[in-house]
Amino acid sequence: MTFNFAKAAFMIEILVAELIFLFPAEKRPLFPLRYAGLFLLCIVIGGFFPIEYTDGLLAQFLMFFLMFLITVGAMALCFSVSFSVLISCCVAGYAVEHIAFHIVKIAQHYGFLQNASAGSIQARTLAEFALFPLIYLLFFLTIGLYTWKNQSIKKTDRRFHYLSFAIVFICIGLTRIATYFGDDGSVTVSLYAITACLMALVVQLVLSKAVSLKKENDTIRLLWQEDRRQFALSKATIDTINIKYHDLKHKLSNMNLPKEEVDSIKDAVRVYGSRIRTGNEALDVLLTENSLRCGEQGITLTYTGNGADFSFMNVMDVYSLFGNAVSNAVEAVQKLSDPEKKVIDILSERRGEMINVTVTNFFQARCRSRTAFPSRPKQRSRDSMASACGPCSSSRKSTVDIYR
Amino acid sequence: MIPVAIVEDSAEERARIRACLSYVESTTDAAFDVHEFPSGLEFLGSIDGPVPFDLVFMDIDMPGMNGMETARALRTADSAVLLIFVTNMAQYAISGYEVDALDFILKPINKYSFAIKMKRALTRIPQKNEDYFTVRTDGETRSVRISSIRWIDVSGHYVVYHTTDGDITEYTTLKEAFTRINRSSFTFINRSCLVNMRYVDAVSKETVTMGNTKLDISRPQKKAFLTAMSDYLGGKV
Repeated sequence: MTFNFAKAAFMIEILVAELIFLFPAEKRPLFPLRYAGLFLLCIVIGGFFPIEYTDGLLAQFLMFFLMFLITVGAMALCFSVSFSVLISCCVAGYAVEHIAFHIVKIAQHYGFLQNASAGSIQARTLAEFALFPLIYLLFFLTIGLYTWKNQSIKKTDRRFHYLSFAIVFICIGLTRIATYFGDDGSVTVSLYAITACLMALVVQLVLSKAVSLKKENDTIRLLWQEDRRQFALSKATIDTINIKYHDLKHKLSNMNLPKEEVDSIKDAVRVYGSRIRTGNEALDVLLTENSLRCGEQGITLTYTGNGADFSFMNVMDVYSLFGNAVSNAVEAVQKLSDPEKKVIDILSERRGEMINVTVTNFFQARCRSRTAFPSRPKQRSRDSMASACGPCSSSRKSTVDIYR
Repeated sequence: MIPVAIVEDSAEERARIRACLSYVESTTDAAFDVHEFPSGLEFLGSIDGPVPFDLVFMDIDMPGMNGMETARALRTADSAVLLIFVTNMAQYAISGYEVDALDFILKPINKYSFAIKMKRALTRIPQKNEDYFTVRTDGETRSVRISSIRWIDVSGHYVVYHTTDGDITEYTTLKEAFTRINRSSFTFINRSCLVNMRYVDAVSKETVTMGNTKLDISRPQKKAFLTAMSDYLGGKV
């Protein structure tokens, strides 16, 4: 069995192309050593792969597919990513390799790489190595960085992965068929391959992102509609409770009861007549409603700030923003075993055009978030203090972004 | 020691606040010199000249002169002292804001809720025993109080420290100055300007206002600056 330079070169091209999409991902311990070791191993496996270019069409296709799977395995040992992200990145890498391969072929066809195209398969591979780094760099600086900046792969619907996978492998299959039947130098085939692979990348990384954004927007819109309904309901309820409270107080004053007893009853029901007035209608309704709710659950809720600071915001946006934050804080403190720790502190402070809102509460769990908005109260470090947490962080972020 | 006044007519509540302050002392590096006053009048009567407290806990509902009236009188004497209201009615939150109260604490006082509020209050209290750092200027070495620095910018090969006591120039780099100061209350607003967030009066889309001076925020630095400012205002710094 002899070492085949072209097959080894194919392995190198694939392994480097996959790095374009995987490089920013979390790496496993001793990454440089792992990658270097597996890189060499893949080259050896590729070079001695027991299927030849001269074998049948199906065997060739099987060879490329198996070599691709070997690189997927190597990448799985180098990067700590989910299986779907791994496959997506590797398929995207394969698509980029295929695009680069056909760009080289077109360059050869038009005589830009005359020496290489005229020579042996080794010479042709050398020509590929001359042009590939430039093409890879271009893809890394454009699609690669875009993908990781927008977390496109992580947020992709799996159906887009399957579609992209199918496009790339059908394209590779068809171009192999064309090559097998002697159409190796056709520019038309190369242009088809480049177009199909670019389309696969666009579907996987750009369209899928747009679809996921739309889905997210639909969810946020639904939440807002629910907030709007809740706001109207809460406002009406608080108004009714307030009226009933004043009626009761009036009736109590007219009853023939000892003063101490009247005062004691008034104290007991005072909480129902206490409307919080912050200078913002939405905030008033929200805090009054939540104060009553929290009072029943032994939770102390305090707000410090001037609600009028939020007058530039739509009433519903204020209600959604604070409602979401308070709901999550309530959910977090409900789980605390120490009743004294059931406190929620909301603070808003204005500095010029900047308004800072801080919601602080205790929690019992671990917290992990890479954004400014912690995402899950259920995942925080034990018994520490947290600010502004909750599962609907994207909803709060969207609300804030409107007014940036 | 941070001088603290508790203005509260109930001896029981005063003792409770004192106990909460002890709890804060046991969980932080802070130490308090606590003075108790059973009425607003007695508290105001104790002030002869500059207000000798950094932090005042004020009960709202007191016989005679209530907490809000006392706070208004206090503000005429001192606009900087930190004021925290103690109340059993949440509705007073907004009224407290009118007299520039930092916060309010709801009765019955809970030591954990108290600790949350104190964490933020402590970041706003000027440190008396704070660090100084040395600056070489015009051939002499000067000692500069770090908290007196409002902002630092660059002029040619020099760094200018804009302090509450005037400007000081030193032949160094901004990066070197930042390393020497080593305070999280300082943050960059652009490549050549470092601000002390304590002195930021207003933030707009493109500028930071420090007293009468407006400084430009660079686009790349804006996100990091807003995050730092938010952490500072939220008491995380």
